[in-house]
Amino acid sequence: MAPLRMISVTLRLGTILIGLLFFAIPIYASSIFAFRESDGSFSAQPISSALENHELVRSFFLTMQIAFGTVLLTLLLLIPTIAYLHFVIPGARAWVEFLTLTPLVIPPIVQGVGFLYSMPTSLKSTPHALIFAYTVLALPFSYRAIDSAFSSIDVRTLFNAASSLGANFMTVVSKILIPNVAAGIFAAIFLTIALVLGEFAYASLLLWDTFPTVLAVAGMSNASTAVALSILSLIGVWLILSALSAFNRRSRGLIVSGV
Amino acid sequence: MSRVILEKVSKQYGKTSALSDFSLEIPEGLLVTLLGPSGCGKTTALKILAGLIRANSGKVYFDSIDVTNLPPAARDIGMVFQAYSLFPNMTARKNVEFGLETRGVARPEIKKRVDDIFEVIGLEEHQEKYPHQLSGGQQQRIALARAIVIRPRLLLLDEPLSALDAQVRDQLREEIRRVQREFNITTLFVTHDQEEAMSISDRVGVMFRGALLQVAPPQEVYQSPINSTVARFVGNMNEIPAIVSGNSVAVLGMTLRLDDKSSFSSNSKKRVALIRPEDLEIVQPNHMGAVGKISGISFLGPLSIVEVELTSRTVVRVAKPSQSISHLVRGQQIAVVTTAERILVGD
Amino acid sequence: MKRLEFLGLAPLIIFMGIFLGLPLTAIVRFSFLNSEGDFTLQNFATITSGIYLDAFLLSTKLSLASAAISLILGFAFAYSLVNTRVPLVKRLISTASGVLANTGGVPLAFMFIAVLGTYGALTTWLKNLGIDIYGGTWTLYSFSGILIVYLYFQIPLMILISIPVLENIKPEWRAAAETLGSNALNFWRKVLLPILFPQLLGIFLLLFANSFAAYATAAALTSGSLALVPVQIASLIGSNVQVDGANIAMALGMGMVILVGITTVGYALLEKRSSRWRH
Repeated sequence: MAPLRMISVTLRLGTILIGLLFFAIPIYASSIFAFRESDGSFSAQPISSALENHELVRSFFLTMQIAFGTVLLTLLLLIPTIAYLHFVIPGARAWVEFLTLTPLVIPPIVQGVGFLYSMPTSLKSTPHALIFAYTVLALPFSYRAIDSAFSSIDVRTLFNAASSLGANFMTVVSKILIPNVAAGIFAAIFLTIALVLGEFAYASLLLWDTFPTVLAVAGMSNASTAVALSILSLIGVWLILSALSAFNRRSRGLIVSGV
Repeated sequence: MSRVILEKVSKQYGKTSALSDFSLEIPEGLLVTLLGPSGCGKTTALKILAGLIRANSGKVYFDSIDVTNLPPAARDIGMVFQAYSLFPNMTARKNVEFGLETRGVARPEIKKRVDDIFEVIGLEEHQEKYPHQLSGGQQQRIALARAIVIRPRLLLLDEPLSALDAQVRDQLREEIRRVQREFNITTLFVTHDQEEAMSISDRVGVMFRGALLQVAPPQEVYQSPINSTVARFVGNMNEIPAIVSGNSVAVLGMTLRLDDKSSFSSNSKKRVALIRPEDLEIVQPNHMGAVGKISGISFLGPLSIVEVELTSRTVVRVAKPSQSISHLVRGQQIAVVTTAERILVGD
Repeated sequence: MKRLEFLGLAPLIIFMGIFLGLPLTAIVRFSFLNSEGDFTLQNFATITSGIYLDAFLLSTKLSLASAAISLILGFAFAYSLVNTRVPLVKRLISTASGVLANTGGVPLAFMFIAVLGTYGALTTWLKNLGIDIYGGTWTLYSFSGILIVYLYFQIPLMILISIPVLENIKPEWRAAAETLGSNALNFWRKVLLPILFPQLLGIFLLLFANSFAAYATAAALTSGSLALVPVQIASLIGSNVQVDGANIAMALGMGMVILVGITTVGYALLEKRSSRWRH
């Protein structure tokens, strides 16, 4: 092989190797930290103590509830709107997409402060109010996911074709529309769950005991547990994303900045 | 300009053989076209000539110089791609200057050559435009200019017209031929469109599944195809059931001489005679030929195609000058005979 | 009748109006008020001086550094990734990048405490080799320490964004340059980098904004000890000590919104401009 080729191949392999190490080392090192006892053996003690920590467990369930609510609200809000958009006023799509990107410009911490100082006490007194906040936070990504699913099919043509073949509205929606946009809907669902699982700024500002906030506090007293749970969090998100890519053959760089 | 030779070149991708024992000569100053369906290996052959791919075995010669191991930059070639040829960040002019600049040609000489070539392709007013401001046809012409201005030993064209509209395609096709002739550039043209291949080539190489079946001037490939694969691929063919015995073929109620240049396997019982539409004739259903009914007439301008369903249920297409068939109507009973002297037979 | 059609968008617009618009209005409003409710520009004066100015500078410094480093490293990783012939590696690293880019800052922060903290696994391992990284003044919670943690969500983000960008590079450009006699360096200099430059600049801005807005990582890692703008905002809200605390926080928030807003618009414009070329 020509020397130049060898250099470039080595460089490329080297970079990939460094890249793999980049991801592997922290996971490995933190796993050792979390699961290794002082005598050198491994135990799952951090996990079991986590499960015994009632506050932690409670916060996890709360977060899951909020996640469920956020997903529900997102789908209820977006699916009809996007369907309507594609079918009736496709020209407005660019504007609506621009609108849904605005939450990205206002950092979650700033949104949280604004929320605190503008919402009525009734909303601020229940952690489930986070459902509204998180729906807004997830909007840029959930909108994109569902919108691109609708864009990949020609809603109007499909609808007209089905209607001319005698299908009524509900049949068209259930048998034709939904199956074709299912991938996008699943993407939106998973992205939203991942976001809620990791969202910290809003929850800590509003002083709610969601999983991330409790985890952060727990970390100060019991590092191993916190680290163990963090690793599990990462694995959880990894599973979610893998499920996502199994549905999505062509992912558009799914990016959530909820750090 | 160079005489280019590919000698016994093979290329495998895993278990698939893209090219097997492929040999081709491109004489100096000629335009040779590789014609074949997708996946036949023609682009692979072109890329090996360019040096973009390495062959597993075989050699490439430019004027008796072994260039097999040389990188593309050292081979002194010009190349035009199907699409995305031009560098999007440079104007048309800068694109054309690129090759000259990398070769270290002096500025005054660059200016002269580039001015000339733009005049040759007739795009002087578009020199300062960016690729995205130009039409597909204009982009390909500039890509051609860029490839030629460096006075390459070999010009390679990888399906340059496939992405263009029909009318632009025809114009550009003629222009490529014109420019190639004017500068006498040894050229390899790759395409799956046989009309393209036939109209501009000095030689046509018909390829199929990694093998070169026949290399000959267009007329020869058309009229004397070396086997039934070539015959079927180039131009239109009727396939009419026939019976072969010894040296004769019985088809359409006639007995004709077998084309001794055709190759066919002798295992199968069923045979078809391969006859061009223009080698068929329509006559009164009296004594000669196969009787049938006209099932359709397609008007194609100067020629028309008369579709006939024979009593044997075979459908044949007969090409006739449009003026001569005004008396024919659908449903009419007629007979079909062939005016070919030698018959090609296949499976 | 055209206007009536837009009524269908009412639910979405109303929803956003309430849950994004109202908070935003509050931010703007309170930033111009003091704790007694009178109009004042004092808050903006406050945030552009003293500790708050320092916070802006620190956040900017951190964001510039993390954006620049992750731009280069992430691009290099993505480049080798796109050209690799083993699809499994590509999928693995893409998903891993997705994980790190999409997980909240809390797990990330703890992971790093476990790796590079005072009793972290890597720290201990290095110590056993004789290298005491805590021997000097360095800690995980210093600027460079936090930078390392930030890189762990910035670089994956960069990798994710770069992959489609790199896949859009037409192989024909490289082949054309090669056949015209150019070597790899020349091709990069004259063709590839000029083409990619607007996009890369835009992505830099995006990375900058992402880093600037990040809160969870810093909060979990330093519990408020590193004076970044988001951390300042949170502590102002949390404490009752600072007079006009909330208003100052709002002003800081406005500052962030303007900064992030400008960079995001810059990114969008550069994206648009470069996509024109690529077609």
